[in-house]
Amino acid sequence: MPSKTSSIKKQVILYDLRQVGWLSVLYFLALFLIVPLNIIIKYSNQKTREIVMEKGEVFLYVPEFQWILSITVPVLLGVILFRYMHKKQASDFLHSMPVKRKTLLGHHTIVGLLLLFVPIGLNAIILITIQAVSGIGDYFNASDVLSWLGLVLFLNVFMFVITVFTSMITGMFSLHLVFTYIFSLLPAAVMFLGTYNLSILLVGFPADYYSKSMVRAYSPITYFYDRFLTSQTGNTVYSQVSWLTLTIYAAIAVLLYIAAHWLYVHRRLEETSQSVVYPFMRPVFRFGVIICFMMTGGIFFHTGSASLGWAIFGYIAGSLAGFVLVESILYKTWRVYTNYKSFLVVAGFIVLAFLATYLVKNNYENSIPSVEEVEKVYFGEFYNYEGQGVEPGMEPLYFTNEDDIELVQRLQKQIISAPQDNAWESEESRSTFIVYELENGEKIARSYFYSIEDNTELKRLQSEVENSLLYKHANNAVFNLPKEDVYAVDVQSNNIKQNSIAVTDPQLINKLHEAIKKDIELSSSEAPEELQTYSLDFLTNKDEGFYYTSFDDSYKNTVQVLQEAGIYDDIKVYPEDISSIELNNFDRNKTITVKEESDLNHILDHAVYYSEDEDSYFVTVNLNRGSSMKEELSIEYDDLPQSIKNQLEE
Amino acid sequence: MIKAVEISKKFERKQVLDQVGFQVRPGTIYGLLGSNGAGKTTIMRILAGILKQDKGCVLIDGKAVFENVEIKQRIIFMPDILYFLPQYTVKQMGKYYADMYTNWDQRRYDQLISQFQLENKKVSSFSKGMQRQVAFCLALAAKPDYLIMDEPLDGLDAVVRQRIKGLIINDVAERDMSVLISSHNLREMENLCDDIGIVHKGKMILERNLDDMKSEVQKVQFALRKGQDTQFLNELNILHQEKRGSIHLVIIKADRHEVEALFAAQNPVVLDMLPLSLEEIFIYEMGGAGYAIENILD
Ligand SMILES: Nc1ncnc2c1ncn2[C@@H]1O[C@H](COP(=O)(O)OP(=O)(O)O)[C@@H](O)[C@H]1O
Ligand SMILES: [Mg+2]
Repeated sequence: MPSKTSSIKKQVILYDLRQVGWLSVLYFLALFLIVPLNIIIKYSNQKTREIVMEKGEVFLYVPEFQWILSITVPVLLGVILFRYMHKKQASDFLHSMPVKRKTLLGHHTIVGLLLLFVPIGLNAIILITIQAVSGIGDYFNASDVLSWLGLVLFLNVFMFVITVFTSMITGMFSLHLVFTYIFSLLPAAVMFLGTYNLSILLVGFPADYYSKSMVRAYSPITYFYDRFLTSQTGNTVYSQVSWLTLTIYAAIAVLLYIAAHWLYVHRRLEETSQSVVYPFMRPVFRFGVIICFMMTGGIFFHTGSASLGWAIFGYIAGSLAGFVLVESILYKTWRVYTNYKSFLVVAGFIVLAFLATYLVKNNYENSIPSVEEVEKVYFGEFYNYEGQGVEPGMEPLYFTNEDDIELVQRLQKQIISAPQDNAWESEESRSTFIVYELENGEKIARSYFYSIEDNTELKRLQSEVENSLLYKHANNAVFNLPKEDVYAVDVQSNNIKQNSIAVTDPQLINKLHEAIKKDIELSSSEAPEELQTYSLDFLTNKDEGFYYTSFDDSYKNTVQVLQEAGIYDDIKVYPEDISSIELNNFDRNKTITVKEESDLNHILDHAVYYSEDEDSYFVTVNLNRGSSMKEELSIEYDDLPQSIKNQLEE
Repeated sequence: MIKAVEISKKFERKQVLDQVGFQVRPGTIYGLLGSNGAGKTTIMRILAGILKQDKGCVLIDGKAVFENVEIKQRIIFMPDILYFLPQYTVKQMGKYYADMYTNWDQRRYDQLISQFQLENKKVSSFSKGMQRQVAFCLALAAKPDYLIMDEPLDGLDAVVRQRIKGLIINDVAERDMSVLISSHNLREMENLCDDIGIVHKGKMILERNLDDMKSEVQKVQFALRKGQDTQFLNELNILHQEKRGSIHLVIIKADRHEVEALFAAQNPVVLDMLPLSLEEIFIYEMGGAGYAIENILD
């Protein structure tokens, strides 16, 4: 029998358009407001044109809005288009029609994509048109528009495909939306939770190292958030996108669509209104939810207490909460205890996982490569590590010398053997990130957060590293100063006197630079800081650098240069400059003015920069000449001279 | 021809259908009877290609239905709870069906719609009974070879019910359409079905051709002359017997001609061959299997 049936069903398309067409129209309008109209308005106003508009980034004034639209509109679209799968009557109706499931899927997909392409594409056409016919063309070109189009479309299509996929998994309309976002965040969330929890269990496990760079690429939502936002910082959209990541995302989208197709063909329609339609997925779902809740619970209680005991409590509480939640979603009843066996199975897996972690714990924590294997070792804070966005002026510090490497290793061993749980309360804590780069190309990374208080050996090793020239050079911006770009130095007096002197004489700048470098190299990290401090701020033509360093009277060379230039006296406060000291209590309702010289000296000897103690008094030093800093210092009640205490008692 | 061969289906762990088999011959109406939860709807959803049976097979003209567009072209399934596309009017629903079913007859649709005096409004604004009528118009205008209806006569008033029955019977006669109709009420099936199958707890417990049944069982009302006894009845298979005054009423399982001949030979004062209702046939013939049948006689 020759088939008269056309495989294109106009009415299915028409129905879909009736359902979601309005969304596409609104999407067009929203994008039009945010992008082309915004550009036209900014351009037509002379002021904003000059101040706000910059070449190549005209599309991304409010990237957050574009990003939010891109992750919500396609999802909403998919949820509405596939709603018929989650309502028994509608599902029976459409599936009794003489249409194959794959035809239905194809129709809805094409309508969905079309309704995304049209509003985005139209806006791109509008942009290209205004670019061609008006002076706005100076600020961007057609290829900028195309890369914007590509970026926005890519995210939209990807989110839509995820929505199509999750529509196949669930039989409930209300869960479709939830599953879509869970699913799109899942890899990133699991990665984050997993690494964070390992850092609780394994001393030295560098969660940041594994997660920060990668986690955000593991979810389209976070990955494209970064792409949308970083596009703002001057670079064009193109250069921000990793083609490899996009290719992987594209491949995942194709696989998800194929999977959605397979699932649809095999969907048992009697499971409509079940939370998870395919029985084989239910144990996976249960397992996933319990594990994620367990890890979240662990993190929650660990961050509050930094103790392993609380973390374990968090694991137990979290996994139980996850169990109750997942069972009540699966069986739509709160009487979940009847299914305790499935919890025991998951709990068994969890115990095994902890056992495995425990078995590797010792090995992991104490594995330090031998010096011969190491090519170089990074030492410093995590954020300064390469590829993590090094601050301008800061060089990532690498030790290559064998003695230095050995010193780092001795310090590391000392850190490992020291107690780990007192760093938060300590006043002398360090967070140290160490990466061994081995001869064979491997990298071994560890991260520690520890206190060096009350641990003389640790303190000694720490200061030995910190006093090394390499460390000082890497961690002080002035050593990496682009000299030719410096046009002035701001010499400032901190915390007593309020004064700053700008130095523009290139020779003097040079002298100051040399002197401060010498002083930093000579100074020791443990030297007690003096009450009076000053700072040098090297100003450069390039706005990226922040070349600032503070110093005190122990920096003899710098002080000498300043004295010779006649600047020193402008920033230094001598005892005879002080006319009086004002003390204010914490609530600022009691003020005492001190004039007695012995009292003045006593207060200055005991004052500190800042105290949170409610018993302490704010100190304002009044000067004979020049203005003074207000309430920059404070002093604790116990440290006050007896005569003042008496005065306060009255 | 619709042929269901030993279909079984489980929902989660519950066996909902257990080796159900039956046939709907071309040009006939098959009534699927059973109490609520017996499995009628499930059978129909399988026949309509919505669900897939776990075991057995469903053949329509020798071909499997599931995901078979050519076969589904010729089937209309009318569910017990009707569904119309939200916000769609009577005309728009017609257009939708026209796109789906190649046999769609727009003239017939318009005709039926005006015959039922349905306005072109949103279907959802109609009463349940009127929605049912729209569904019939859609189903009949699609000119299916197979019409599967799940409890379609529920909640219709007698006039409309009669009119619809007439239309269905007409199509069956004219176009050789086959109809599968389910009900939990035996009386509804009166004067409609050619065959009846009774489903109970997922099993087909009984299948009968109604013409056969009617010709097998006779209801006779008679009065004998004085002095005559009812001895002659003893050779017959009497299902039921009662006497009111001098009038006897017997229900006999036997061929009509045979009975007629036998009674005529007695030359009774009164002799009426009465029509049997479906209900009576089932009650009297099914003695043993009555437990299932009682439920469908409410
Ligand atoms: N989606 C479903 N999930 C689980 N059980 C179901 C589902 N639908 C129906 N059932 C069960 O299957 C059995 C048969 O239902 P059904 O075919 O609707 O019977 P009928 O139409 O004869 O009233 C009933 O016991 C019912 O509870
Ligand atoms: Mg039913």
